[in-house]
Amino acid sequence: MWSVSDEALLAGLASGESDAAVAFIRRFQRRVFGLAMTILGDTAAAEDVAQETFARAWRHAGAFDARRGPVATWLLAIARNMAIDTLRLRRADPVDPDTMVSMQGPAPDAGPEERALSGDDAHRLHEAMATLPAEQRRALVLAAFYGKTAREIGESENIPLGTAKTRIRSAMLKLRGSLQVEDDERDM
Amino acid sequence: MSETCEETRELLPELALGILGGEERARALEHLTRCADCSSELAALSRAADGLLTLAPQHEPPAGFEDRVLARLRRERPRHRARRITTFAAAAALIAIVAGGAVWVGTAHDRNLASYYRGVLGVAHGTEFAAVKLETADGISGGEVFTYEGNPSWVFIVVRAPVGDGVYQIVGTVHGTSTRLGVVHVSHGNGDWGGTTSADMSSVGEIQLVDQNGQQVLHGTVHHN
Repeated sequence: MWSVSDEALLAGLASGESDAAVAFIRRFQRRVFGLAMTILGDTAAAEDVAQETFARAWRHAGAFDARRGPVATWLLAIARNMAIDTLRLRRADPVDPDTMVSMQGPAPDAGPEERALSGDDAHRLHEAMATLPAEQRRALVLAAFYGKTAREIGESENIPLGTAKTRIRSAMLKLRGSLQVEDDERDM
Repeated sequence: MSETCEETRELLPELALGILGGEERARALEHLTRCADCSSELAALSRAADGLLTLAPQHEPPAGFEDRVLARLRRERPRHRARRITTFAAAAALIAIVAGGAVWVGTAHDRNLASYYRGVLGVAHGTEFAAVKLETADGISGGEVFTYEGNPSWVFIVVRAPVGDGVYQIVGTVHGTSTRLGVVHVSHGNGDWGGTTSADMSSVGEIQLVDQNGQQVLHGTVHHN
């Protein structure tokens, strides 16, 4: 079953094939639930978000466009947006972003499926994150995972709005650059 | 790179992260509808922003998670087929009134409904509210648009699959002339946009969603009272 591509499993999920649905959930549940837990820090809330993520993937599978990125990032973006909505409704403070700073890339002993899931982007982004100045990394984590705006980051970090924007922008440009290097190497 | 490009580039990282709002977001989207270079830059930044999510620690969900998801999918199947309209409270409330009016039997109820509808419109000096389904050239449903003629007049649009991710112009035909009503950013298969407009919503005919190459991806026709 693991040899089936993510795209094929998503198509199977959308068409109501129960085997595909089971395989799809098994393949992605640790990532989806892990991301929801990271953002919400609460098992029950994270399970609600994870369940709804799979339901939405099933409903909106037709919106998936493989040219714009892999299934994993599409699915995780759905989970992220819902977790952030939940976070705002609960008016909860995010988990300390420093706990995210040790974000793992794919484990060194990851199997082939795991590596395929993460793709080259994840390795590059992990390396790029590690080289960011701590304050840029914090700003980026607050924005990317917790949906904090530049203004909110400025307030929570006690820095001017312009500084918050610069930190976010600098971090994002470095990450984008790391992916561009990868593409250039591939083209050579 | 034009001055507008430079200004937009400053905003793109926040747009890619989904944290840009208000006037800055509108300004960036406006520019993206006519700048392929900045759109490519947004795509590259979005790839980085989305890719970051794969770095979050993985976590085994509680026992029975898989069964609960499957049960939920089975439960939702009939609703999934029937559902056409997503959530947006104000517009949906008005739609319920209009749709309800079409099927309600009994003149007394009709009069009450008409009176209530007039009252709702009156809140914002309105004369007409319309809801239109948007379809592809093949007749596949891809969203809805809501128009309100009043003071102010406004437009609200919801877009979903099969429309691909990207930035689209919302164009209305008013008195035979194409008029830009707004811009919608579709991301991960969903997009919505709402805003006031100076265009005459009581005269708008066809509404289209147009991509960056000027190609129509969705269209619908407004039927007036």
